[in-house]
Amino acid sequence: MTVGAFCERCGVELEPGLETCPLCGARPGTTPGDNGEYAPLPEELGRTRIPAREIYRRTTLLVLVTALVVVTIVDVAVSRTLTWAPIVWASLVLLGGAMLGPLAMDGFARPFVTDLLLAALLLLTIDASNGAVEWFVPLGLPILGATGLIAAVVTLVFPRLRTLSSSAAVVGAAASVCVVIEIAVSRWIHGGVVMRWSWIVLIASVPVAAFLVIFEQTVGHYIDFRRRFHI
Amino acid sequence: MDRPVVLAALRDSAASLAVRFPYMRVVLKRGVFWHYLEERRGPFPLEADLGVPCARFPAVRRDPEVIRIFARGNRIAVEFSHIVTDGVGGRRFFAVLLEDYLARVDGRREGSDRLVAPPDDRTRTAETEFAYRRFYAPDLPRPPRLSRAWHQPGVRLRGTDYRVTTLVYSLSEIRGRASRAGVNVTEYIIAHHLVALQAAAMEARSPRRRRRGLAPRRPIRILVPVDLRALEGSSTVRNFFVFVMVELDVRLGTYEFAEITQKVHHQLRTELDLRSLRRHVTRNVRPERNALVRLIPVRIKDIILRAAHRRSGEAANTTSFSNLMALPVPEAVARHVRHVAFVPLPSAVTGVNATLFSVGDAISLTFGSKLADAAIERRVAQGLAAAGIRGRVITNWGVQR
Repeated sequence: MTVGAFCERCGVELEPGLETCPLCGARPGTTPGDNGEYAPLPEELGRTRIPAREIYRRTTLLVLVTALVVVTIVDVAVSRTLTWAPIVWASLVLLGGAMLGPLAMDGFARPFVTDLLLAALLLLTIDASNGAVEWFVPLGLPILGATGLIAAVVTLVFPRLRTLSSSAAVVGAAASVCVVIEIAVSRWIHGGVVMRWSWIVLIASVPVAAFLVIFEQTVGHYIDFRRRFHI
Repeated sequence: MDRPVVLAALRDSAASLAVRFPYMRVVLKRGVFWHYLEERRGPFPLEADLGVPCARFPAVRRDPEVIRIFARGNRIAVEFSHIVTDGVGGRRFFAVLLEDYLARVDGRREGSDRLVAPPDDRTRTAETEFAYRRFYAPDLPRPPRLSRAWHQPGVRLRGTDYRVTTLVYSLSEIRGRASRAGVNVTEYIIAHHLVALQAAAMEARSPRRRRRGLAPRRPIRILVPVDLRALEGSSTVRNFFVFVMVELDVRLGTYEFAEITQKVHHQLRTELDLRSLRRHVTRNVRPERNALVRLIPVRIKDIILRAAHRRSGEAANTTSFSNLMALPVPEAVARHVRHVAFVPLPSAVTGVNATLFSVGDAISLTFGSKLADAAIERRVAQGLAAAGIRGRVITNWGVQR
């Protein structure tokens, strides 16, 4: 342990590295030191984990780019022109986005920008692989949009739900998605809205969700409930 | 500590202490009528020590953590919210943390396993007792209402800035000086503190009062928390203390150091009477038992109490002085600890608050200050130096954040 300077006026020894007495401001002379109480922060706590992220990012990019090049070479070598390679490119780009996107953003944007947008691009790519966009706009986009919207509502309105209540919300959301799917599919096939099965799912989900919520509020939530309303 | 912190061991200890003290591993929740504590699973949060203690209690965040562990260099710190425990409860927690941490660092797992075993029902009941109920006696008269005390003027530090200055001295040396003055260590340091405050109060007089030789308008009062566990035989880790006041009425004239030590000694002896303390506890507990108060929604309570605290919370005391005594750890642990410091909570009203805490032969006098000028700290250090007591100074001021 290094020894700091001594302030005669205040009768105190200074921490190593301090140039002036923190009490009276005098400069008694110092000796450099690195073992003080306010030493530099420990690496693990003081810094974020950027190096590990950077390794992951570079490795992922390397693997995807290599796959992209290999796919292109194979396609061109076999068919002498580009045939199926663009579909694989699109898939690889989407995969890269799904793997690297979460590193670039935090919070609520993560599931929507990475998952929803990438899912939309994947559906569009599959639809467009036949040479024309047919079902993506009337079928894929409404289902995806509605699913995203319902997921957003569940995430934003019930952000702090406990286990069973969040399960109830998921059951309700799943039933709603079923309704949207049937509406979109029936409009695509029959040209109008025909409800055959989704209303059964919707009605069945109500008692299930209600049971989950009531069970949590009465049994699981009992102690918390009692504390919350303690007078 | 005498060596840099081993983070892996500290992280394990943070997890073990959550098992040993599950009722301290809590978050603050807002109920309809009261705030309450809810137990959480997982270890106590371990964070980097940025050198600004007690300044960022995340009250704006939902479910704020009330106990956090910090590490930096060779220092381990624990930040407690007064909601969950008081100084003595925190000292106990810290002692177990240190003992368990050092057992892990030295590879003595069997020692740490015994230390951090989950509490049985009896221990749990004893440690979570709301012990104020023992003291509550509804028929007791209220303690006398105190007038406003003198508060140190001066520029306050902005925002979360908080200067912590720790003076580390030899306990045996201070104990020797104190016994020569006929008082104990607490009284001796309080007397030095009062000398510094008296000088500051005389210096802060308006030019008119100084010209006419008039004293400051208000008395100096130091608020001293008293642990009630020893008096009542409780082992709770919840809050269980009461305040007494030590007063120096500078309106009557200035006092010499010897006179002040005697005044402090006799005032504390008078105040530390179980019946008198019971009166203070009853005053503090009484509003909580009032049906009308209990029925007021917590958000309205918050507004009222915030306004009441701003108006009169620290009006009656110039500063506070808290002595945590010795850290209760075995000798094998104490020899790895260079010193311990107890950082008081910041207050822009009082400006500077002080504490005492010791381990082995190292006693730390810590000042937490929201004042731009370190005048009180300087005067106390120079007063002790004049008495022949020399020590070390450690501060967070101006260090790397």
